[in-house]
Amino acid sequence: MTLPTIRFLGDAALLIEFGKRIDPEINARVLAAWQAIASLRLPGVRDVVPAYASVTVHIDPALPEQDLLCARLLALCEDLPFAGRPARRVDIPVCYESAFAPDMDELCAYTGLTASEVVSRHSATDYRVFFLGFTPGFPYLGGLDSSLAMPRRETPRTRVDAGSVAIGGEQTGIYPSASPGGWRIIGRTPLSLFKHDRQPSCLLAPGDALRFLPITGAEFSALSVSG
Amino acid sequence: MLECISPGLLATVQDTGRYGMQSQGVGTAGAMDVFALRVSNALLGNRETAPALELTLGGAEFRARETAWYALCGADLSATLDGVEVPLCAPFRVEAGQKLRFPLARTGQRACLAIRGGFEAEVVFGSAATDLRGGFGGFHGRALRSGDHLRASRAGEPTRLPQRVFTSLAHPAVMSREPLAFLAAEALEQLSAEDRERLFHDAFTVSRASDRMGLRLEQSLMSAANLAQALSASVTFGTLQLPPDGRGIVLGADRQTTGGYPVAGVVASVDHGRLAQLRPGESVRFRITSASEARTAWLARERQFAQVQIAASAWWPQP
Repeated sequence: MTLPTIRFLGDAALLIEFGKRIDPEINARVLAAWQAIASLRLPGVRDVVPAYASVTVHIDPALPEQDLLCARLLALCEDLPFAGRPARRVDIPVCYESAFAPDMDELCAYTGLTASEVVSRHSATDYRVFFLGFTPGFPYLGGLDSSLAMPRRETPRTRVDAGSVAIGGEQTGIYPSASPGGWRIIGRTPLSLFKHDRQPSCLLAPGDALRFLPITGAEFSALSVSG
Repeated sequence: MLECISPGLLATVQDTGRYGMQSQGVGTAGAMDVFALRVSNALLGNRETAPALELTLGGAEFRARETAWYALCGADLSATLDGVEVPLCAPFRVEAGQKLRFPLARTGQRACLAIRGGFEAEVVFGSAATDLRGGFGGFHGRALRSGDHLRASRAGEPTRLPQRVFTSLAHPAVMSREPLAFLAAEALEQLSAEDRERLFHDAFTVSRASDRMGLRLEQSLMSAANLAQALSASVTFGTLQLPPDGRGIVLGADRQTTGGYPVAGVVASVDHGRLAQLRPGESVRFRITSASEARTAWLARERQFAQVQIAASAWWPQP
């Protein structure tokens, strides 16, 4: 286990690094540190943001005693309750039928798998939500079966529907809102990952264990109506 | 009440930014020139974080439906009130029926127009900043259009007529052609010696593709292609990212919460306003600064802000 390091990122943020790899154990320490620092509600601290292997503490640049703050944060990070809380399990229903999977054929051709093999492998894994970022509610997931990896489209689509479940390189993800995108779309979830006027706004949280649950088109419609 | 006759290139309701939700992927948004927004509010005795309008380049036009006090800071957009020039960085009164016009940017590109009492706005996660991509906050989560009406939360007259114009603050930022103060980050030392030299000596052109997400630089730092791949992590306003093509992106208020490109450094907070005012086609240079120098400059800027607040406290009734 490497010791965390802390340094300034500009004059309005402190970057605490726990490593340089995408690794669930490193990320567990990151999330424990994130929660510990955020719960201190230190004056002058504007935001605390976890990522794969780092926590960034956004501060007011006028904050006095910044060196003291660095020392305090580092001491905290060196003495974390190990592993944090147990992962919450979240099932994400996904309809992999062709109406929602415009890139399934290409993915099958590329990987040499049948559509049902793709579905069973994609839905057989526990994925880790390393953190949320990029756009509201978007989970950075780890754990994709490497046999499903496929490079992104050379020309991104100008519009990908909200809820689309897709593969881009070694990663899989869910588009929280309609947006342009270059990932290979293999299904769609009827759930909303983010609603600014819902409590809680995000369906997922960093550290969650996520599993995709295959559903039929009829189930998709029923869940869309109730959701 | 203020009626938007024309929003110009882009008019949005902004505040000092939505902090506290970046861990959920929700960006800060907020004014590009936060200092201009804070000063425009302070001149009116508002909370410094009160919602104000951010106007971009030329073309905006408004009609006052009610009499109210306003203040304008940041870019000089040649503002006129019924044809008479309006001072920057000073409170001014607008009578019902009068027209405010912002025909043409003379210096800079973004002005903050604050109203006494602050504009009424949709507050989401504690902030009135407009998240344009998310479609929430500010004025119905979108940019202003012709025909929109904005209200002040709590209008009112000053107790004493405002005397002083803070010309020194009119654009500390906009007028100066000095290089932007830049704090080094990890990827800087991985660049070739030649590129490091270029970063601090050459002028970079601000690309037309620049917007509230970031300023894109046209000239390339070729050795960026050899930089070690970075893990995605949180990014800040002013962060200089280097994609593999070497054309730097300096992140703005509508940046995504996390980024995976190598970070060469960050523009110091004191120069964030100047960053916001750089127009596409203009050139920008960088100079390396130290943490202590950046801090001293920032504290000096904050003292100027405190002077505005103290002066304005004589003009406005205390809440």
